Amino acid sequence: MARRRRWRVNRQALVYGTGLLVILCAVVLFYARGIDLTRLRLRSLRVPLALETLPGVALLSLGRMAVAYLLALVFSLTVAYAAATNRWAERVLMPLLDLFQSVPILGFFPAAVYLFISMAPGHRIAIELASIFLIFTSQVWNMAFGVYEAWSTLPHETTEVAQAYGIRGWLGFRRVYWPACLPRLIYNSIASWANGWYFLIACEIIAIGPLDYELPGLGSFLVHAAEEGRLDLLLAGLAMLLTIVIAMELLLWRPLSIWAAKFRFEQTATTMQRQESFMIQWWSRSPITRQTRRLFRLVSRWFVRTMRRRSWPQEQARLAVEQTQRVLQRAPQHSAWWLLAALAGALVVWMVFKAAGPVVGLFQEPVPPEVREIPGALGASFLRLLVAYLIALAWTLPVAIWASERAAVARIVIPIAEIAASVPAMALFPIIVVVVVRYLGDMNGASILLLLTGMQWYLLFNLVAGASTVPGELREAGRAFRLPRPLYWRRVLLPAIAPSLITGSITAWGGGWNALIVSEYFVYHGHTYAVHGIGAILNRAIYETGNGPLIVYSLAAMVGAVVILTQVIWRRAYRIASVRYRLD
Amino acid sequence: MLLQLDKINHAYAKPQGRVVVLKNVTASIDEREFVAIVGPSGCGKSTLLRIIAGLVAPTSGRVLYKDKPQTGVNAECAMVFQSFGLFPWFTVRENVELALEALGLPPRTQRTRAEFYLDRVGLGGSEGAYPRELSGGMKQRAGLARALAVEPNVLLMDEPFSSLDVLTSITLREEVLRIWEDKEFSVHTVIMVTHIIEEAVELADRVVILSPRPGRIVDDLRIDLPRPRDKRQQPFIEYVDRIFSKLA
Repeated sequence: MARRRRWRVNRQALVYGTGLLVILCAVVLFYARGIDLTRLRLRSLRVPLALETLPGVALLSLGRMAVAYLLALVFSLTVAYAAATNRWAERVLMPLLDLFQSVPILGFFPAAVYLFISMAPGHRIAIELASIFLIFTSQVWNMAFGVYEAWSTLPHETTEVAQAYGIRGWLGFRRVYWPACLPRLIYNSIASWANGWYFLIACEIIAIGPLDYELPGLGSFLVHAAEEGRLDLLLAGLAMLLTIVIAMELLLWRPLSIWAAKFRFEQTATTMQRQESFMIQWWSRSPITRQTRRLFRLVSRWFVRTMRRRSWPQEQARLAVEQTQRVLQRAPQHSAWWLLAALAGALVVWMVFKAAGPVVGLFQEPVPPEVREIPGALGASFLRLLVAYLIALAWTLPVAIWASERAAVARIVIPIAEIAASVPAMALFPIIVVVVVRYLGDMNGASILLLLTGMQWYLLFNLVAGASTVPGELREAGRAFRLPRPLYWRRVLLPAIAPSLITGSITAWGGGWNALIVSEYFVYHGHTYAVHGIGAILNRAIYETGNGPLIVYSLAAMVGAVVILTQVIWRRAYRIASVRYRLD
Repeated sequence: MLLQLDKINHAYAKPQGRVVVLKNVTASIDEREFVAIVGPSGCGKSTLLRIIAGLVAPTSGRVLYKDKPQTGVNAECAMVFQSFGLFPWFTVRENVELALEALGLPPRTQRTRAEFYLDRVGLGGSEGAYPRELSGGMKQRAGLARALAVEPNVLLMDEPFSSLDVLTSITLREEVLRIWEDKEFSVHTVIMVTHIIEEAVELADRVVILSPRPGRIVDDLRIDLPRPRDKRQQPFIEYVDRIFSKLA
């Protein structure tokens, strides 16, 4: 049996490793010969920078965000459902999700843009699709993991009830799985939207080498306002963004999360406390909404009834399902999965084959001199990330615990964090850099500050969620035994939130590696602000010189560092924490 | 013979290695029997119940239901769970209706049938309540109503009274006996898992005693006492003592 277990662990590593191989092949294939996007014939759609254009561009950005969010929603539900209900799918999908979430996406933006644009050269729709895809990648991982976690931690009895009473398929999804994931899905959606806004600028301005392309939107508006030193327009743009974020919080997220409390499993006194939302009051009391709901009910009932009449009689449908199941049982076990695995294997082999030529070419060419700087630069960047992480931890941990102890604080902290996390810090980069460099005389401080904007919110969101799940009984026990406060923190609170601290740390470091690419090298008004670091090397190579081999070497080094850190340190820490400090 | 367990073995793969929970369990259950399965915690009695229900496939061995080997969930069994297994986002009635919707019944039938059985278990008037608004006893009544509503022949109960207070469990036990004896209900056979010996002796015709893990049948005892049974009478106490000595 022990032998079989080792094989299972290896299989996960196999999937992870194969995914990594595919990513590295893609890097080589896209970048090894240098980037040449000039043949894509792009026309920039620059909208004049003026206050009148602001509502229009904001609406465009909102639309892109909404489309990307819907795609992320469908993707997350599909992947998480497969992983939560099928052991085979789980073993393939989870390592891949884990890998994709930790890879620094910004490094792959040019590749993704190239792919989309070459599908429909010269058309705006291609750029829009590329932009939506980029926003999607900034939203989706967090949601997929949240939904998967909600489903894989369902009380055991719940899934047994569904099984015992034959609540399967679409009925099971609609009535059991979908409701059960709602609280977590909504909470994580808030963070995903914030993350999408944060990266909006990178998703609307595509500047690679000689090529400079942009879409009209709030992100590009903010960047131009900052670049041209139009403080008034910058503030107007930020005000517009804040208005959108606050409106979404009040009109959408807050009422939704209050409503979603009904789908929670644990029913403690604190979750029973109904929060107030004027939207919910309006929705449940206003005659307009009552009529709308009645209309909706009538239409849906009519729809269901006609569908049922059209569809097969129930008995026949059941027989058909059982018949297919019998056929499937007779087929060699898991044949579909083996077929899929074979297809995926063929694809991997083909990619490796295609990449082999460029790799050989890479080694035949003289190694660019900057490559020797990579290890040192990686170390310097790591230290900067570490400093930013420690600063983030120093303030988010006390705030999260404070918020978990006082509902009033939580009600203020979460919306503020949501708004602050949404601010596209990249738009403020020029101001931050200029101000900080002027006062500190050094880009290092500015760089760490920029990294902080990309790291701290992940920690805060995760810690608040973790600290609020500490059972009231545990708190009361601490109080009953009169544990001194330092002892209580060390022995009760910290162990209890350890798993979410580690999850938050993994995502924060992921965000940090990603932010490195834009935080270490900065050109503003013809003046270059730069520090020695892997992000600076990569940024210059991708966006300025288009030096293919250098991109490949530095991106591979970065991906390697991220993968080693997450797998060796964080995953191990998480396993220990989740076993030792389990709360059940 | 309604149900036969033929050399059932069951084992889990755990990170620490293989854990054998059931070893060579063979037994048969007749129609109209009330069988209790008792044993120390962790002896695999709940797993055995799930194997009977078809929720868990045994590592080896067969379950025969009406002389046919069982594959998948047995549609003629319905299960009552220890922690009730109610969905918090549905009202009591919707919880029952969901099981009926899975049977493919039209909405109107679902509703009338759910109301009928909720009324039978004494929850008439609480149909619109959410599980969190109910006491433990009422939640288990809802779980019972759901099981009865699918009109099964066999009622499977996994420690159904363990999460309830003493008084509530007394009335609910009487209720279950009444349902089993009443010809109006489709249920004619009850299989119940419990760790409370008095409960087994009070309710069952037969008590199957499992050993500590790995669970084997150490005794299969017929309780020949007229109902209602009185816990303070000597024969009752003797049965309890006999089971105790087998478990110790």
